[in-house]
Amino acid sequence: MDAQKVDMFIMTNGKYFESHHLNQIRDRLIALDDSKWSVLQTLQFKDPTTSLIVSILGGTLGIDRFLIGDTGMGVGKLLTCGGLGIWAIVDYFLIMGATREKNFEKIQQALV
Amino acid sequence: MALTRNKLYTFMGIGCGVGATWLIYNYNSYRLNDGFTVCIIKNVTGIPCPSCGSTRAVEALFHGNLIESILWNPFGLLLTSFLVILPVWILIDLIKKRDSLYTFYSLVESYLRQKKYTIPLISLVVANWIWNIYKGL
Repeated sequence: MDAQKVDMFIMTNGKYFESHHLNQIRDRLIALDDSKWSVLQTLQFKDPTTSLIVSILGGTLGIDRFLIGDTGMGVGKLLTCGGLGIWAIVDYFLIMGATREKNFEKIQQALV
Repeated sequence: MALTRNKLYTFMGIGCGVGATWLIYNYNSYRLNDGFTVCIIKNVTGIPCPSCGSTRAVEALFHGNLIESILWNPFGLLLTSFLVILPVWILIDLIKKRDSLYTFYSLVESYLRQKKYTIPLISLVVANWIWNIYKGL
């Protein structure tokens, strides 16, 4: 794929991924066929800031984990009152990274 | 870092350990309503959350009072079964070097993402929440 196109994609969607994944994503996109561009454009990523807001408001019910697709963890948080309140607080700090990881998994699955 | 088998098992192991410690700490005092709670929702708003009372429910079950346990919170039954089954399952998996629990976890997760299971389960949780508020836990 055209390097310019890839850089444009990285610029607009960079905030959805961990910084140490960006190089890997860029390399894979450059090696990718042009026909995948439309697939790439239709991918929707979860915003880390949104999941942080959800985590602060509904973290004890596990809604943040449900939102990013970690259903099992969400059930765990819901049943234990946010892991006795501790897990909920820990997740204020982890949820943005977890969202970015989920986005990375998503783009990897889409590009296979 | 996706959730791998070992990570999941470590996480569940720690969870069960913390849960067991919490239960031992509360073993004799579970019926005393001394106002101490770790629940953020209850501390902030004064309204119980869907899983408030599950400590009391599990303790009641360990003391042999099934009816009392369900009246406190039906989640207690679910939590007790997790607390009993998970460590054993993890141990068996570790000894036999298999990943049956991890496969099962992924399977359950994929079911829970389907609307036909999600919507009834969420309604149950909300119903339990309303019951909790009504009981004034």
